[in-house]
Amino acid sequence: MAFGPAAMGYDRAITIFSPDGSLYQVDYAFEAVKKGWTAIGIKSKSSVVIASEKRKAQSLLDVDSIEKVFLIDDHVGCSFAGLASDGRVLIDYARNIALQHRLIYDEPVSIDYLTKSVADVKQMYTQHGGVRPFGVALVIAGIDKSVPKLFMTEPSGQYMPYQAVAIGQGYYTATEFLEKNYKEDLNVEETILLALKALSATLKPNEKLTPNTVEIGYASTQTGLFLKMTNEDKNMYLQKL
Amino acid sequence: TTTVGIRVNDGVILAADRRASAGFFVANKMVRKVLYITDKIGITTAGSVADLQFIYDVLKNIYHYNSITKYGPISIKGIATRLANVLSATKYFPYIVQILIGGYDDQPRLFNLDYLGDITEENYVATGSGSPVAMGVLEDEYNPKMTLDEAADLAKRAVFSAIKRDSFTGTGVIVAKIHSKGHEELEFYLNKKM
Repeated sequence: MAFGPAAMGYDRAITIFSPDGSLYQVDYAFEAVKKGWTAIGIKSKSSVVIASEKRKAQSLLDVDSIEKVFLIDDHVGCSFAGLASDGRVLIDYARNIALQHRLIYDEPVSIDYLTKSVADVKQMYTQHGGVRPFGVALVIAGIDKSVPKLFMTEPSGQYMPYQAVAIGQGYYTATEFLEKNYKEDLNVEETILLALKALSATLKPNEKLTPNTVEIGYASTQTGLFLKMTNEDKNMYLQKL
Repeated sequence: TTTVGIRVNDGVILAADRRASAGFFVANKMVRKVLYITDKIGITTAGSVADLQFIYDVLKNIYHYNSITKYGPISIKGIATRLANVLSATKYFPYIVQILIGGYDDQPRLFNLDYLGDITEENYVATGSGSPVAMGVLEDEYNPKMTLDEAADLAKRAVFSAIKRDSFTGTGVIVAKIHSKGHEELEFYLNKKM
């Protein structure tokens, strides 16, 4: 009777502590993040930038129609690595939080509060029965009353502020690059270039970033608006690499 | 009741009389209608006392909840909009209130809210049964360049006019001067012995 009543308690809830104190399902969810396309977030004094790569994983894949950097509100943007379907759901949730905040307070939502709201949902999916954790990490970037903010949320529901952060396949190489080259005192253009350089560092020697394989979102303290970069602008920056 | 709000460059004045009436009966002669959410955000209240006391608790609750959960205090516009949403949502079983929310966050702000959920930002405003009388004084004398002390005096005179001509307004007036450093309060009474 391998599946008798005695064993049921352990089988039902999928996130149970292991004797050494880790939650395997949550750890495995993080493995899904590590398989995702690389996304990078950088915060400087002047701006926040998100750069995200797109790979032609199958030859017939229409990479141009895939979105990797998402607008949450006028002043916030987001990218993710991991299960795209999970990411989509959380981004929809974040957009709703931002809209609700404008309705209730007639003011833009703070990046901290928005990130916490999303992370709270992720946390719930590590503790309730009959569900699995979200297999995504989100990089959330925006401008809060002229102050740049950058956060990353993990499948566990943990979220932290970062000066620079990388998630997905190239996270290790990109983080190593950013640890060496990060500076706080950068203008908007320099911040964007640093993000692109970090992303380039994750590529194989024969690979190169093109306007079709990278998405860039940025927000400067000057405008307070999160914008997605056009292909022409991307080209201009890629040529400066 | 008569309450008055005035916004000038260096702050906001909130003033209100002290009479609580039940029909034609003076139910209380020393009621406080200027209340504080923080030392730099105040409200004035007109309408049902029970509803006003409850709404005041709700406002304090909203303010403190936001301070704890949202990494810093809510703005005056934020809390006023939030309350307007509460009043709008309860439109069909309304709280019988008219509320002024005024104060100083990074600038002086003054909002007028009514029981249906209407919210307007004002430079000068009067609420309550004596508001037509008070408004006449404000309309004549308000000037956006006046100092906070001049505005305090104007608010006092506006409420006093209403005390004299509106039977639901009486006793005296509490005037709050709210500025970037906090608030000070002045009291004036029609008769020396109350």
